[in-house]
Formats: sequence, C-alpha cells, structure tokens
Amino acid sequence: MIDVVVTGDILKAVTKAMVALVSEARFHFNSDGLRSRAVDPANVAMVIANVLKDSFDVYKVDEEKTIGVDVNRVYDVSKAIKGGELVEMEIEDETTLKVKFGSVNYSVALIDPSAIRKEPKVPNLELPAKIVLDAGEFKKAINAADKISDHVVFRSDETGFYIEAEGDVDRIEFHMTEAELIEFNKGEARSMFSIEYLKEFVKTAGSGDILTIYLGNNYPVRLIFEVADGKARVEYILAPRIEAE
Amino acid sequence: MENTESLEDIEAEIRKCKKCELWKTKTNYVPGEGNPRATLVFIGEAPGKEEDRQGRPFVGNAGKLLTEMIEKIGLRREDVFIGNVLKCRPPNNRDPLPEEVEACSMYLIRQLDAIKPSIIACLGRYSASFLFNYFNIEFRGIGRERGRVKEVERWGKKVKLVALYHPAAVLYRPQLRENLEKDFRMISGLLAQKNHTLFDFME
Repeated sequence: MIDVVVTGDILKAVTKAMVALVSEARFHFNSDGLRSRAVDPANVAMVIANVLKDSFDVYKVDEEKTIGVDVNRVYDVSKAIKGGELVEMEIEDETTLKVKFGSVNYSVALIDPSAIRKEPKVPNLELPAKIVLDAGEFKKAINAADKISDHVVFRSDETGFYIEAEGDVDRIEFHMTEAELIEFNKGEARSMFSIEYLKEFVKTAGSGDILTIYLGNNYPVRLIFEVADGKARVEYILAPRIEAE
Repeated sequence: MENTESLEDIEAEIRKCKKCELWKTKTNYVPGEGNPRATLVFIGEAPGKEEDRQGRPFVGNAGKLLTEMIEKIGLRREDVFIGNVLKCRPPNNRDPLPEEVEACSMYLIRQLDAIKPSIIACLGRYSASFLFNYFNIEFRGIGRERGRVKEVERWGKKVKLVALYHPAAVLYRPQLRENLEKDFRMISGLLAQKNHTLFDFME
C-alpha cells in the first residue's frame, strides 16, 4: 500500500514535467522517494522526475512499487489544487489511484505498467560546459526565440552563455556573463536544438527556480530544473538538431 | 508484387461504386485528396455533411481544425493525403455498419498501396481500430493508443502508424486539444527527422 501526502505544487510540477513528452508514465515509489522516467515517441527527448522522500509531508510506502499513471488526467486534476494545499495520494490495490485534496476525492484507474512504453536507458554524457541560471530568464529567452525561429543555438565560452536564434529578417541573442550567472565553468560548447521541445520544457519552470544546463558540442543537452521550491527535480535530456551541411 | 495502380484509377472506380447501400443516400463520393506520393496520410472514419456536399474530405469544422494542425507543423494540405475508411456519408452521420466497412475499406487499402506513405495517422477510434486490425496490431481503445507510434513492415520499409483523437472529438471536448497538438508535434518530429535521437548517443 502507498499512502503519501505532498503539496499541490509538487504534484503539479511532476505531472506537468511528464506531460511535456508523454501521456502515460511509470511512477516508482521506493525508500528514497518517487521517480519517473520517460522518452517521447520520436526518441528525441527524455524526462526524469524525482521527488525525494523528505519533500513529502507523509511518505508511507510498505514496499517498493511501480504503478502506471495516466499523467494527462492527473495533471488536469492537479491544476485545480492550490500550490501549498496538501494532497493525499493513495493506492490500496493494483487498480486505482486516489487523489484527495480539500473536499475533493478523485480516483483514476491505474494503467498496467507493462503496457507503458519501456523506460529508456539514460545516456552517459560527458558535457564540458556547466551553466546555472534563473529558469525564468531561460524561459524568457526560449519564448522570445520561438517567435522568430524553430531552432536555437546554445553556446558557451569564457565570455558567457549564449542562446541565439535567427529568423528570415531578424535575430535574437540572449547573453549572460559569468557575473550574471549563478554558476559557470566557462566550458566551451555549442549545440543546436528544436524550440518545439524547449518551449514545452520551460512550462515546468517559474521565475526563481534554478536551472542547471550541461552542454556539449553537437551533443544532447541536460536541463535540470529545481522546481516547487527545490522540492522536486525535473531533468530533460534533449538530442541536438541535425545541422544542415 | 509491385503496385502500379494510380490514385486516379482507384478514384474513378470509387465514383462508380455500388458495393453497399450508401451510394443511394450520398450526395457525392468522397474518395480523398492530396499528394499521391505523400509521406504522411491522415485517415478518418467517413465523410460528414459538408464533405458529402463538397465531395472533399475534412472540409467542415473538424476539417478546419485538421488543416490548422497540419499547417502548424509547417505543412499544407496538399503535402499530405487525407482520406476516410468510408467513401460515402452514412445517413445522419451514424456509425458505419460492418458490411459497409467490409465493402468499402479495400479502396483505402489500395489507396495506401498506391501512395506508400511512411506515416499513417488514424483520426479517431474507427479509423484506428480498422487500420490497427488490418496491420495486425492490437487496438486497446483510442484513449490508450493515441500518440503511441507503432511500426509495421510495408512497402519495403518501416511504416509508422499512429492513432490521434478525431478533430471532431476535440471540437466537442476542447480539453483534448492539448493532446492533439502534442501528437502533431510528435508527428512533426517523426516526419522531419530534424533531430538526432537519443539512441544516436547511446553506446
């Protein structure tokens, strides 16, 4: 049996993170907490969500358990929960997830985990540049770039971190120097990515959330968002665009 | 066997069809339209009122939404092929009868054999159920299957089959729109091959 209590912002953050790429996901509950991992159908991006046991107000998990969740439905319901409001999630048998908040009792059928697409292996990536910044600034840059192009270049060198997009007649450059970044190792790296994925990822983040980026050269990027006041960690790994010869 | 039949040949045959009773109540046959060498095809259930009136697929309100989604991923209607399992409108938009599907569906199969698409997008449960069954894939309902990519070997290549909500269902239940948009993004990813996949970076 699983009986956990968590604040609404954490449930929202985790389900929102997953729905950016998939509609169904496996949730693993174990002695460390909750984790979920999924890859999008085109195998271009992966999401890994983690909530440590300490971030729960109550965490009763009798034994390690994996459940299949229709994250679309749970995310839709979680929109009605206030950020700080407590939510109880209960699984008594193999068939139903109960979500209780305020006077609302919501129950939804679980999905057989074996019917959900197999969880991907996490690629082992060696990425030279580490950039830590306010996720809200990153979100602004991606949403602005989306207005003029379908792809962006992330670039890092000793002068700072750059996000660049070019339209037919316009160009956007986002530049943060070492002084403006929270942490920066000045690693040299450059890769191009599709905005259609990035703009879904940034929906997870709010101003004040911390984002850590690991960037390589024509290599996947790791974007690690610390959301819900740092109580949940959402990582996206996005494969780069194929650049025209 | 190499298929040499053209879409026009099949269309001409459809326009004379009397294999079931629907020809008596229809206004126009709706064979489908689009690029005869389309990489991506969209297959719905059957023509509705406006389609029946114009003789063209997906031209009513659901069609407007489909066109909007197609354009959102950088394509035009002319780039893809749009058709239905049934080529005539069932009276009052009732569900197709099994004998009508049996009589009519071979036209669709022949159209697919002529086009040889790489991605078949099934719009709604009827189309998905029929095509999944045709390709020997278990169909567990549109809510379970939508957005999941199935691969089948056909026409000497791997063909991707994906079920989507029917645009009419999305008009009726706007909360499904987000899913439809997400599935179109996924199709865009499959289609354009603009991105590497994560598998390219796994040992």
